[in-house]
Amino acid sequence: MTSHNKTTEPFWWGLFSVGGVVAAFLVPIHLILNGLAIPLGWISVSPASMAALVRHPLVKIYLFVLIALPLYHWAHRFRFILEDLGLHGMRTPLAILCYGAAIVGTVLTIWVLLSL
Amino acid sequence: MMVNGTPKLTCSAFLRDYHPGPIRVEPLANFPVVRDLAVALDDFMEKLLRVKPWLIRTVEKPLAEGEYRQTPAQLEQFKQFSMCINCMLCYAACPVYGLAPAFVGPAAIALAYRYNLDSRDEGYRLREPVLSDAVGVWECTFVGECSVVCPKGVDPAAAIQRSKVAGAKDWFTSVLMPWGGRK
Amino acid sequence: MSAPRSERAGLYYPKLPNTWWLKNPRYFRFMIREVTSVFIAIFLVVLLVELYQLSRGPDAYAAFADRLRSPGWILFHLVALAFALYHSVTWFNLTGVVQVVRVGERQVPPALVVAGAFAAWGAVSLAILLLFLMRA
Repeated sequence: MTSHNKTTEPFWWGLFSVGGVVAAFLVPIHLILNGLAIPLGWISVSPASMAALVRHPLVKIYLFVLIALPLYHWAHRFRFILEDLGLHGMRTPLAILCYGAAIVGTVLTIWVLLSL
Repeated sequence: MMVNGTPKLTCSAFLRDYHPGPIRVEPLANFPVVRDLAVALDDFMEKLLRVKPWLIRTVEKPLAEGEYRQTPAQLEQFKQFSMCINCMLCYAACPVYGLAPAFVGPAAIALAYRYNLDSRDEGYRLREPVLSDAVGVWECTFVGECSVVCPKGVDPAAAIQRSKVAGAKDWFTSVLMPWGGRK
Repeated sequence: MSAPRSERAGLYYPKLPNTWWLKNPRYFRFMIREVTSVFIAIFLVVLLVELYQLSRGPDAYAAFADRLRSPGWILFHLVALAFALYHSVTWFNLTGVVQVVRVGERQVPPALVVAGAFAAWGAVSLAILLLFLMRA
């Protein structure tokens, strides 16, 4: 029997990986759609049809995956960026800060999606 | 050594390729300097031993039973990672090793991976604690410079990332199915 | 990682400067790759805020949609798109290295795995675009 309790790194790396896949596949098209196409009027959407779209339970699940998972991708990468830029010896506080922020973001995402 | 800031085997770095120069030769980066161009290799040697880079069997076959057989396909699985000549250029290239010297490092992990992939080896569980440690594979941020400077095409970065995938799978199955046995 | 190593007397221990990533183009591109996660996260927070405004009603959403039309936000999304594309391209290029795909005992050539990933990305993006156009 092997001990895996030594470190939780594999868990966060797993989340980082999944978040990275989600971000790689989905973020560019949404940047184009939500960030450029709709504001610039290439595609016209009324608030009513937008609201109707996001109220669909499958769409809510999709939005949760889209928003919450890449936050863990960011948290893991950002934590290592800070370490690579010289903040050594602060592993635990940095981890709490970064993963904590991702967890807060996840909770907020769930809250917003439930209130739609 | 470092030639113009790049980890290089100076025995295969020819003046004609650096013409007209100048050429700057420095001791291998990320290692403590003893004197002039000589660096202390102790850290790497200790890490090399730590990953047990030799075939481990639970029970050795008696000589009378002959060799351990292996197909060409089985050899292909790990051959690339067996090309390591322990030159440590990858350690000089790795910024993580430079910033955090406790990191087990590219060559050691690649060699552990090589033996884990060898069909004749049964030592995965003995190497696993070294790889799954926080200063094992999880310290790596996949900069990839180790594979760029490797003179033998070992691609230690690939070995580390694949070890992360295997390590993560192990971790999740052990957490989700603590009663399960593993190889 | 944070435990300082014991240093022997008489040896010179070089310290890697915090600007190590400026030393060669590959290190620099690595840092850019890591920074892409920041822009992606900011965009997703903006998206979350947009959804929040949507939950507050059509007027709140319309006001927010108006703000997204400002040159500043358009510029942000353009910059974020550049970073997000860099993330996607570097990520899919590395899938061949990270994920070994085997058919029987033979290994699928990494270039094929990568091509498959890019093709899937194109298909998924197109599907999302079409789904959105059809439903909204």
